[in-house]
Amino acid sequence: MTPRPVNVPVCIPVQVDPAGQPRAIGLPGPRDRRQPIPVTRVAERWRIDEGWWGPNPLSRLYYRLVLADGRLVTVYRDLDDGTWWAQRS
Amino acid sequence: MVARCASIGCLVVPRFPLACELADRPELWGRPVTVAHPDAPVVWSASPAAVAEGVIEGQRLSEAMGRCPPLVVLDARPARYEARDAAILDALERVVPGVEPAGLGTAYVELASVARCYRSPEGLHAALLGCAPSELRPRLGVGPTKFVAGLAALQAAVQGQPRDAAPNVRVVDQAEVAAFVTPVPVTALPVEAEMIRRLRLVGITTVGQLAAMPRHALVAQFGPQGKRLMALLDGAAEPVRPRPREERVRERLAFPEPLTSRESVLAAARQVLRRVLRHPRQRGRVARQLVVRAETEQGKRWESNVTLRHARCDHEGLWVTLAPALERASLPGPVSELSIELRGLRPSRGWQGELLPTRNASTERRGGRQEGMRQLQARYGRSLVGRMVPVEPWSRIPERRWALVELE
Repeated sequence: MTPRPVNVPVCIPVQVDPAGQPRAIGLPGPRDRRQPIPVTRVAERWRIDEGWWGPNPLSRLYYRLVLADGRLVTVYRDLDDGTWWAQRS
Repeated sequence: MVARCASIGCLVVPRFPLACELADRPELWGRPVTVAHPDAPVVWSASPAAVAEGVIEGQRLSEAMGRCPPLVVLDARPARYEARDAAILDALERVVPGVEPAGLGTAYVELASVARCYRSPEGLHAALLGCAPSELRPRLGVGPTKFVAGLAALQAAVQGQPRDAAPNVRVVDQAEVAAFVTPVPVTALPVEAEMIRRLRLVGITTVGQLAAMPRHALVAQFGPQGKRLMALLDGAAEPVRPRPREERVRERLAFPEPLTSRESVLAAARQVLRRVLRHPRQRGRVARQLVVRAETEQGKRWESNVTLRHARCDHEGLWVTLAPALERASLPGPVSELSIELRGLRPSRGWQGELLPTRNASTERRGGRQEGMRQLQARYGRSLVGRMVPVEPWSRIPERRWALVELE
């Protein structure tokens, strides 16, 4: 009976503007439905740096985004490798 | 005769906390000693030698030590004082039927009903004084009212009459009340300290001066307290109100090594509960209330009073009620003694169970859920139902906060 982590982040495609801000995101789901949804505005942004003193450092830049269809989603950019992830915060 | 005129007795152990400490440490007799208050850094009880050096009750300890450098300051042990006081009250109840507790080390007793049981008043006085250990140096005052008896007890050692059997007994008959009360200082009155301070401010230092004051002025100045004082000065008799007699069963366990962990306290409590339920006086009876007390090495006490929904005497039922109180308790330190007392004992009249088991909604829900899980497991080969458990709920990383555990 191994505990399973919940709320694991999911890798998503994100289009960014020249300033590096997310412009449109593709939400997790079946591949054929991953149409990019434009971002209306960035509601909130925060950064988390954890474990920088240890072997597995973690550095994330979180965004809470308001999408064109009215949804509110939380995504983050992994500052180590530049990938984008969706996650409930 | 005692019974005719002076029918109320007052047994007093002056400066009770200090008397208890000095009884345990007789080498401190005659030295400036004080007992610190358990809740504040102030003097609770001071010896005559300390008072002579300017130490007074309620004074800050730092100031007291400044005034009297050789002052010995002792930590208060309220649990010990309460136990000694309870033992005195129990002993008094074996001598006289009506005993009214009036604070630590003070009790009023009704003597009229027992005076004939003794050959002489001196025999009765000796029996009453014998209720308190002699090392506490108790005093007995006997008078027609509680007020006079209380004052007589405080004055006993000072003005012991030659005809008294012991110098620590003072008997005041009705005829000599006025002469006795007049020179008594107002500080001996059973009123608030603020009232005494105000009386002294206007130059009234003795009860005689106070008695000469117009009654309406006293009431106008001090309100209801003045009215009560006026009634006392006029000789109004307040009856002795005996404490309610309630049968209790108590068991305790002392530990040579104080218990530090909650698990060991819980285990010890289980053992004490088992012992108290095996007590001969408990057999065939049910209890309405449980009192659990824990005492530390320093004499500090924790107490919890648990009232049961149904009077009962079964170990498991009582433990279910008692255990949460102990688990939540913030104990004042390592526990050196644990006691459990059963109160409200009455004969057991049996317990009317249910003829038909009731259909419990939550039990039904649980049964349905288990059946659903069983079917899921049969179909998919593994449990698909999980339970969320907190891992690091405070973590800033969302996926580290909770985990899912399969529900068996």
